[in-house]
Amino acid sequence: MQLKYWANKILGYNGPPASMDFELAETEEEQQSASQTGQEENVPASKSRQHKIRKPRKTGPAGDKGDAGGTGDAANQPGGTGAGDNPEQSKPGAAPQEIQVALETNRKIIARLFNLPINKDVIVREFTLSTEPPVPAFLVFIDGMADTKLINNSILQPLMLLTNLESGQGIRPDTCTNVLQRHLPSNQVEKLTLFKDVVTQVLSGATAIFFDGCSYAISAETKGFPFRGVDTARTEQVVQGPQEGFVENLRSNTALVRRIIHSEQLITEYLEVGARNNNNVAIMYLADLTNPALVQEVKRRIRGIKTDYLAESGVLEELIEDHPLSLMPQIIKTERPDRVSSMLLEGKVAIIVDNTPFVMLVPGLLFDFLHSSEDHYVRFSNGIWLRVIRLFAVFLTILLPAFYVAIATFHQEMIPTDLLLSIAAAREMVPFPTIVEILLMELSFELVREAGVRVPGIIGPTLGIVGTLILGQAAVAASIVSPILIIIVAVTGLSSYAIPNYAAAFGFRFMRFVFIFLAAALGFFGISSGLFIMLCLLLNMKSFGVPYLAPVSPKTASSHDLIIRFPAWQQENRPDYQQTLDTRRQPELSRGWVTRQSAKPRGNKANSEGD
Amino acid sequence: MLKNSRQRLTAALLILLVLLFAAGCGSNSEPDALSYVLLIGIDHGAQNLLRVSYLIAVPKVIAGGGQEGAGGGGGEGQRSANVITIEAPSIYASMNMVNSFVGRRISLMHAKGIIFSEAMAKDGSMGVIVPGLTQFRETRGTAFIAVARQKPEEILNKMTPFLETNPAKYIELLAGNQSFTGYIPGEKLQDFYNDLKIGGINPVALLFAVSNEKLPPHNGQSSYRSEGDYVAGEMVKKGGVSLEAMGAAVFRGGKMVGTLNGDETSIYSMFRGQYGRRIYTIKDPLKPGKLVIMDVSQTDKPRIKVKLTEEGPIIEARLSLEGNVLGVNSLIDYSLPRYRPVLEQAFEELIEQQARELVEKTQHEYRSDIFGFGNKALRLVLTQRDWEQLNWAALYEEAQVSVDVEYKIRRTGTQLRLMPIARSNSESIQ
Repeated sequence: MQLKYWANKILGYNGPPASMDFELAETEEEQQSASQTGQEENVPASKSRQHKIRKPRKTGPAGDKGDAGGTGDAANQPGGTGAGDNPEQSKPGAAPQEIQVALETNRKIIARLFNLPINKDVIVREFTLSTEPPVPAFLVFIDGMADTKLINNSILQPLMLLTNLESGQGIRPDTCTNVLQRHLPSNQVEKLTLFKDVVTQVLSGATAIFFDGCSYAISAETKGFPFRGVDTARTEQVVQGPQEGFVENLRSNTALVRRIIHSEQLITEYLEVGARNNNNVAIMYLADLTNPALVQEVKRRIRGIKTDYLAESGVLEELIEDHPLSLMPQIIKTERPDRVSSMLLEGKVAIIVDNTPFVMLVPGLLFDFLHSSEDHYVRFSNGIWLRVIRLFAVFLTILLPAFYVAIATFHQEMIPTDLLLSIAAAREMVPFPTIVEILLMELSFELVREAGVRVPGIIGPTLGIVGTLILGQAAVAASIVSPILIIIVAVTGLSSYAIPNYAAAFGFRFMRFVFIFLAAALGFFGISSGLFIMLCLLLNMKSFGVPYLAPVSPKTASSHDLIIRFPAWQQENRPDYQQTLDTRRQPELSRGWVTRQSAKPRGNKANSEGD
Repeated sequence: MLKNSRQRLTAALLILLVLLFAAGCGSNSEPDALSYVLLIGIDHGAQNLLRVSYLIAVPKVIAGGGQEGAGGGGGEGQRSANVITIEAPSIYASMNMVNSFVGRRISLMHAKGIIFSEAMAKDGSMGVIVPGLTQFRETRGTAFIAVARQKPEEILNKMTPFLETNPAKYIELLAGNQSFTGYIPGEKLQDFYNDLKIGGINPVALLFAVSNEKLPPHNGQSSYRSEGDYVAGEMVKKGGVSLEAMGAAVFRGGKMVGTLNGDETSIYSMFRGQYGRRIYTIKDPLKPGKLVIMDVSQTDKPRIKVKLTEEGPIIEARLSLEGNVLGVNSLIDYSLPRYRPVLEQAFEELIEQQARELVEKTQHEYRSDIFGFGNKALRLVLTQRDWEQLNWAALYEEAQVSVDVEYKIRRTGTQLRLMPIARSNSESIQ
């Protein structure tokens, strides 16, 4: 405290801001299980834990509002059907917020809300229910977003033609309920009482139906907008393992995850972000596994966002991450459903933003960024090798150019004489100092990388040739750089792409420049002090309440899946730092067939004890 | 300006960082802005105190020779390393003086060895210079230290390896050959300095000489002479590099007092535990006219015990060796259990005798404990004053040294049995 006091006095430093104070604490079950160590039975006691499940577009046939028992959530709106999650975002306006009984009033409000008739995308179709007496009605949908064939066949046709089977009893308050229950063969319908919800639903492709004398509207699911089909993952390819990746469509993405995890405990919650584009954000987690505090925190952060436009998950990432100024990502972004599923089973929370094929997972820790799902798909010895190679690649990416600069300009005694003499000979005609030389080459490499992304696909190979020729051959021939530098830059570039996470690779690649400057100024001392500062910064970081370097620092119980991936039958525990409700993946003896063959306990029990 | 605590903290850190940056840049230099000295030769000066010679690598020739194999002929015109000799009051001054006509700063970072002239070694100036050399940041503690029988610059001039384009590699390998020839000591600059400053041991150095490159005419009077019975400069050889590294220079205090030949150097290394392996050609114990050739290595660290008695110290040394029979002229099958102990015992006796003779030589002729027996005696006293009162240098001369050699033959060659040369007549080769 003394230190903090003086730091405050001299530097005016008050410690990290309060927003980072969230800490993912151990659950009660975990503390209990820690006290009763060694017990096989580790099922969480409160399996009956109720989680609030909001289904914005789905109501039960009995008109259930969707709340399956509240858990005292602060944002629980009375009478809201899920979409009313952002009370502060309700637009100010003279129009009544609730749907009126008079059809004509509703029509006018709708016309104003959707800027009719200027807005040509919004279609308002007026029709009459063939009841006795006929009930005037109209429906609203957006051309292109809604499937017109679906509207024709399963909304208009039954309502206009088939409703006359009913004996006429005039307009009654339960007309809508009747229609809903008996005449609307649409699989997802919902009663809406607020115009705001109507707008939201219609904008997302649903069709809203208004009836005369009815103080609510019915929205039917008629999404029919174009989207890309499920394709192979583009940025995270594996040799062995599932090939499919997420797409832009939110529903497809949740389905892709659900297809892997067949569990009723897999919860999908919907939130909306963006005052103007009302982007849907889904949160997925396993109710009986994920720490509720983590889910709460994720929801708290997303709800707290006030912005008008959420373009992509990257924007949301920036808005909710703990340390936006850090070079290292703190949220895992992946386009692989299998990776999301395995992370969900580790106790992480998935955040899926509509219109983005990249799903975010929190908390994202340093070692998560070095893991690839393929590590678990190949045999464990190969998995270890992949991990080791990747860790090596990280160090090469950060340090190799800096290391070269340091030993070439400060520590020549460290280079073998032969190599030193050939370096000196190669530099004989090079006009620049080493630091300029390496910056030139590293920047050229970054240029090739950036241009390679931007260049139209057809010209791509040309760029490759030009890049390699210019960088590799011509620069050396023209004595701009020494040949050994080409190797350094090439190896650095290669290793940076061996890092499986794009954002992490970017961070490491950027750090490399910092280290080059440090090495040029101070040699190894600069590199080591840079590493020290980097370590301090990383140690100071948290991602959604979990220390960034967990489980290395703070040291937590091993989940046998850090740098060395243990065989699947030895990975018995979930990562300790996730503070999951259920800490075990499998019993100690996961291979039941092993014991059947031999009566005495095999070595795996002993192995699993020692890390 | 600095609105909050974070900014102030950042600013403070940046200022600290700038201080660091200002500290470092002075000592950096581009690899092509240095000239790398591979060998240093030090001699008495004619006009100034020292005459320092540098063997300086020429990177472009060395790298070019490797790259363009076809242009190797062109490399002959340019030497891959040049010798520069200059007279200066000190070594460091000589570096600066060389830089009055060499553009690139002289760097001793890659100096592989330091060669002193015999004159400097004998009058003790070598012992004065070496501690100062170890103090310098750039010199390597692992550089070998040698005494040249000729002028050091002459030795440096002969450093023209015919196999390597890079003389540095040649020098490194040459000094490293100790591990399988045993003819030279493995003494490095740091060892030399250590041995110099510790009372219980005296240093040795490599012995370099220019070979005379003359083969004497045949006169039919050749006789057996052990391969280690040579000192640098005495070998009968021709070709290759006109240099010889053989034997060692023995020092007492900082002064050179004599030399060891190759055999003696091997024994010295066995006592120091630095002996790797070596080939021994010895007379066949069963057939004196014939020879047995063995590859001998050391199995264990030497076990040396020192006791102080009224009559003087008693030193017991035990050397463990093992070896393989490489060739037997006499065709005696030494793999047989009845012959093998004979050979083992004969070799044990030979080494014991050589060791006794060497110890005696160092005791009485050189009066220098180069084996470090004194270091073992150190534990017999409690304080430095006691040690100084002991006067080990004097005690060593009257020490009783017993050497026990244990030799085991492990392998006796790839032939199960050797057959005599078949003759048409009944006359046997034996």
